[in-house]
Amino acid sequence: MRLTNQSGAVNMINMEKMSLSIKLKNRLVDLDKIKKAVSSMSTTVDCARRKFQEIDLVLEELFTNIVCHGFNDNKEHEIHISLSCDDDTLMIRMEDDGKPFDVTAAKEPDTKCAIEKRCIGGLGIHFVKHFIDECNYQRKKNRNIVVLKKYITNDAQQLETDSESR
Amino acid sequence: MDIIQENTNEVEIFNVKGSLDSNTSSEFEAKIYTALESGQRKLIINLEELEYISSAGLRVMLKTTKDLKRMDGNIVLCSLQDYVREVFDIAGFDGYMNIEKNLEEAMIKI
Repeated sequence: MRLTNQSGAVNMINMEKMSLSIKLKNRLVDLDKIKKAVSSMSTTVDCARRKFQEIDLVLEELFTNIVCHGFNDNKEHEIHISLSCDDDTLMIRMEDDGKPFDVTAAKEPDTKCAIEKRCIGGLGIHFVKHFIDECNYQRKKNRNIVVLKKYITNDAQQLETDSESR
Repeated sequence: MDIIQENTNEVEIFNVKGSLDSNTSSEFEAKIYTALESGQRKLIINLEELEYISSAGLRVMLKTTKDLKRMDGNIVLCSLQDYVREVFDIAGFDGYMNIEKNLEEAMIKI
């Protein structure tokens, strides 16, 4: 399928099935491994750069949340992330052995309150919910398993589909 | 992330380039607080070359805005790229911060 994006460049939509998984430790420096994985995926999967910035953000917020709030001990833990892409959907799976944390039930921040009362807490999860299309949480054998879906169809293609269905 | 600072007419301008994430935001915060400690009260954060920001970067912006309000200072942000602008809007920060289209406008508003 050939599409012309807003800048006039022609994109070839060729979303081959691809998947990758990474093992991280509960330390913030491992964030770079996530960035590298997303960046390598963006060279294989052809979709708007903006979508990958959103995916980067979602993964960073979930990962830092686990690293900063998931563990009470000072021990090393492993966090597993796998990404797979099928046609127009990106699937993200994150697994950790931290404290139970149901991302789908997390409290949303009040984004309209006065600046004096505004806290930064909850903002990361707010971004996750905004940029993700489906979000599932399970607690299994003392592990948190989060499965997310994001539709990565280019907006131009989406608009075309929308107008066809009218 | 790269930060280039300049000072014009008692306004400290921070040109932030690259990515403000959980690993880089503390360096940005340290540079801002060094400027505040040296007496600067008017800050412009030029985000023309900032490609990525997460809640860690937003935390620094919110904290600085609150602190400058208490100090009777001012902070103006300018030249946000589309993705960065959207993140600010989703967070509701567009209601707390003075965000201008470009550096010229920011210099007028500060």
